[in-house]
Amino acid sequence: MSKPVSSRINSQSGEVIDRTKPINFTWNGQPLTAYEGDTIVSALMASGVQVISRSFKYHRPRGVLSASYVDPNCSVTVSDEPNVRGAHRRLREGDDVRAQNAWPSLKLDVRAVNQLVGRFLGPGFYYKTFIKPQFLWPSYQKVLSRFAPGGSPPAPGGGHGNFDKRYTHPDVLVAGAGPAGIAAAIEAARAGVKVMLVEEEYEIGGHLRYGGPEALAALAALRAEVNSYHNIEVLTDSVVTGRYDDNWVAVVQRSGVWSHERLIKARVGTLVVAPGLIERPYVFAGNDLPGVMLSTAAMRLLELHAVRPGTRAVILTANTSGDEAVERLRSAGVEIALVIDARTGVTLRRAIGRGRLKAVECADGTKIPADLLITATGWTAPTSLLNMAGDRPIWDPVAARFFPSELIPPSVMATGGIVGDGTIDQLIKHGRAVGAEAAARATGATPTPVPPLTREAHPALFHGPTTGFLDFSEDVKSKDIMAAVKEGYDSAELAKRFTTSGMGTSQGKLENVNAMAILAEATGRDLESTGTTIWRPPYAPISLGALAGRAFDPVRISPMQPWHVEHGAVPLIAGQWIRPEHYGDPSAEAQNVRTHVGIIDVTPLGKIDLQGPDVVKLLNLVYTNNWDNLQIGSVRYGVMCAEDGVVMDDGVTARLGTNHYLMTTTSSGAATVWETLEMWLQTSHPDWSVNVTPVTTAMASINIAGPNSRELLGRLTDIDLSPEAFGYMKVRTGSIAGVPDCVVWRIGFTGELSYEIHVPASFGLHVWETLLSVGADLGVSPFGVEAQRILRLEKGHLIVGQDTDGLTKAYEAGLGPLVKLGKDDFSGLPELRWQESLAGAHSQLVAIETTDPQLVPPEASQLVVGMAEIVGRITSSRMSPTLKRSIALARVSGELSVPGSRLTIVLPNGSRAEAVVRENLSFIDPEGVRLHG
Amino acid sequence: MANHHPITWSDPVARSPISMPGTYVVVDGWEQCDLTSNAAMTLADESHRTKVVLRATPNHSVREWLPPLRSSRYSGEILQVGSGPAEWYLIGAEPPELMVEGLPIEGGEGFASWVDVTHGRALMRVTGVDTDSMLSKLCAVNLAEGTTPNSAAFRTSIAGVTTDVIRDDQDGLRSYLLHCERSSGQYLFEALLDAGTEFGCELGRRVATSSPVADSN
Repeated sequence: MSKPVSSRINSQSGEVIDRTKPINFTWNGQPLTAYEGDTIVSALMASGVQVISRSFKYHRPRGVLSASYVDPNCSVTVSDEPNVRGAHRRLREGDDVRAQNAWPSLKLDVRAVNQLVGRFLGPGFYYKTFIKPQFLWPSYQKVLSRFAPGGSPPAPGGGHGNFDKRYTHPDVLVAGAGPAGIAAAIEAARAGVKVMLVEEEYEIGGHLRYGGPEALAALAALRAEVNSYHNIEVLTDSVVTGRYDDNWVAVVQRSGVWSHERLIKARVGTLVVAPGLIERPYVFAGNDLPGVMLSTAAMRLLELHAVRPGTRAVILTANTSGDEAVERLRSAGVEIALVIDARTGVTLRRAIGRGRLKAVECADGTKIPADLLITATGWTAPTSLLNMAGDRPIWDPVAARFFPSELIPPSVMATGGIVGDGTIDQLIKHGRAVGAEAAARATGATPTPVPPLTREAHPALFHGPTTGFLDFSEDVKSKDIMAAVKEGYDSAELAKRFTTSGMGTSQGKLENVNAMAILAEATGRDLESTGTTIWRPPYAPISLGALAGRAFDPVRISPMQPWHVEHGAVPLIAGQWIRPEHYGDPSAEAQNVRTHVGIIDVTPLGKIDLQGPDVVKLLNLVYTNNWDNLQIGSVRYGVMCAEDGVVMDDGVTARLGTNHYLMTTTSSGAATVWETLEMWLQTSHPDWSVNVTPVTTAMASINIAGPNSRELLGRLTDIDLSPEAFGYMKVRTGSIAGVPDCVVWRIGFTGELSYEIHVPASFGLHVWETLLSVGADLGVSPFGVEAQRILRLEKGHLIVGQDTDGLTKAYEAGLGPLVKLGKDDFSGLPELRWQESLAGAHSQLVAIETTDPQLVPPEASQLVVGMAEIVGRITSSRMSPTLKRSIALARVSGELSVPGSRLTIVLPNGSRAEAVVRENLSFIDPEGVRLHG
Repeated sequence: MANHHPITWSDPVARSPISMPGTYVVVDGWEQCDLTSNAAMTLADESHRTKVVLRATPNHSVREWLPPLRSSRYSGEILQVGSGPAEWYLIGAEPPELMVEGLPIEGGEGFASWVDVTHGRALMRVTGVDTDSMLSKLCAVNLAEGTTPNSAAFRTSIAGVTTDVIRDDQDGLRSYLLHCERSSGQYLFEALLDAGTEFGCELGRRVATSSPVADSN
């Protein structure tokens, strides 16, 4: 293989490469060198590489077309990152760049055989070929997926690091930093507002960057002005991908050191759309050969990267861009074989070559040997953001491009090439006027029209006398549009979908206008009435990672969590809370509570401070039972129901003072209960004087349970714990382990003598560790949530949400004694009155024992009668370490809730087991001797 | 029954919900990290500050003594914050009883009450010129000067955590106090630090500040 010849030329005044910083990289495994500032493609072309990729469908060799982000032929894989825009992405040291969509190699791609059968692969090929028989589609799909273009996704677990998100509120956001966009940003900043200037390229400047000495001088002046304003934030290598209601603008910021990609959500005062123009390709036979490129591509390569794109050139020009390209190429040492001035009506017939351009055939049949063909035949206005703002661009046949209509809302303005033509000074002047007006509008001024730019005449050139590629991304040819029209797809939207033109990586930016022009010709209409498809967000690709952004997944921990971790607790994720499920042996932990004493961290229990003269009214409203006579120093259990009578939460509330109460809720219900209390106070009873303060995490909560709990706590507190002084369902305040202002209540979820202590949270760990250290001789040990579940099930205490569900009303949960229908009002009263009238003809919560004591029926197992009549389900089940047998709670239909009823349980494996309904929910100590001890 | 027992225990030490690398010392009963920094951006744990939440019905006279909603002001060395409708936070160094001393909470029309939430709130301070940029990675609120100037206060989601934010500049340097319920404190602190990495954020108290509720002790 011959060594490629370097195409790097002498230093150019606007070049962005740093020749003092060489970069080593590989191309399909071959080591190459480039300079810092080179794009992947400029580096490859500098090394003599002309073929960058293989095309989508026909696997034709492809080279540079636009040398910009939207270049359809330059997608490559860099290391394990597929579909990298090689004409945009700058090289980094050590990059492993590989061609994609080619097998076994870029040079010899066997799928190029598709070209031989291309006549059968026209538009609609897939729809027509694979629709029948339908049962074969899965097989078709497997084969077709092998032909899917693009690179391979990274291996699972690979990915590309962090993705980030940011919010911002600029008064003016300018999308596009060409001369007009920069000028708009400067003038807006001069007015004192906050400005964000977003540019897709790595530097601001637009076409000034490769426009010659005069343009570079103008750019230098603009840059200096930008730098002088601290209120302009410049984002390069970034793109505005969408404009949504109320000027909510999405910006994707690429290649940051802090993240792979960042999505910026900007709420903008005035959006200034200044994207410039995109050069339009010309359709003719052979227009996809490597060596055929746009005039702007050639100038980018020459001026920014000092790369000569060829040695002998033919130029088809219809505008000053093409004219300038002629001079620049000549200056760079490229031999100009022929200049075809399309303004005179002359054109070319075809590009000739196999694998790359060899010659150009003129309209008169003359063949000119050349390795470079430049076209400069027109411009496309990227009106995408204006479309998103409600605009419907209008075709101007004189200027031969679309322009904005009058539908743009006042909060959106446009400047630069998208609205007209002019010299650099004229563009800058217009940009300044728009910027000043944008700033004024952002600060509330009445909109004032800005005098428009003029429009220059341009020949309407779309295709030559031969057919060629229309959409390079999707391998759609101009004749495919003709075929679509013949099949009846004669509107812009239908033709697009049938041919897939505009649906590839360029997303219509290069091909859309040509497609519509050819469609117009095929249907006998003009382009103005044909219109165009509507551009929708995103304007540019955005990764799923950026859309997801930074993963915010808050967790909540108690003050004792570091201790739990240190002592090997198995974590339980309960909502946002991380709790200790157990410390290795939950059964032993439960037994220790029954025989000695255990402590459990119950900090997540919801705690709400209630103060005010009307607290009792509130309690009576939200709880089903009566709260009129709760004495100071007492605690009462209560059940909350929603207005449909369904059990919502439960807990105990203590009266600490005349107008001061402390309510507890379930851990999962804390927020809901708080919101419910506020809802009642703010909507129905704003006249009640009640102050509600959530204090869940202000207090670390520890339950001390077991026969030795009184002795243990007594060693640390100044509170009199004697049964006479501190009975069951009472509350006291005092110090514990030297910590003042602790709240202690005597309740018993586990069925044992127990104290629930609430200490100022910052001292939680101190109290926890002190309890363990002073109680060693009492057998104290920690127990986790699983042991607590076992203990409460042995006692027959229900858990709301576990033993109830979204339909369980209070009577069904066995909570009838707590429902005081005689109260004037409470949440759920009418529904519960109705349920009570059913006299038990509803399901009930019961305790059951399996006939086989070693069988623990899984929770949610169904209870049936006969073969399939479902009569209930298991709500909780465990093996009881105290009773050495299985225990369970179940919801069963009313007639089967009678003690002694026999139930059939359907187990997950389909087998059945028998169980009997018990007399009482409590499996242990139904008289409460332990609890009240 | 007297519960006095010969068993003794160590003096209680209050611990912040936020742990960070560094040496800890006990100051006024609180374990505090001794890290200091004068980096371009600093993040410090201020959870040891006294925090009192005060609520008052619409007709209560104490409201006249407190700042309007979404703003804050200093009363002596106590930062008063209008945090929510009919809700104020008082942040300072004194015990809670002294924080509310002098406020006409008792008597008059309506009802007012306060709760000491010192132990229930994680409080942190982030200081530096780029703090608005850093917070904008975690929060959707407009932090521009015109919208949230110095002394502005608001409640919002920061990194998914309901957080009270108070703009409390330090010696002319942009600074924010942030507090959330205690259990999320460590998470929020780490989220702030992570977002601040881009701006050179360092952990620790700034050493030269003049504000009463400052990073320094």
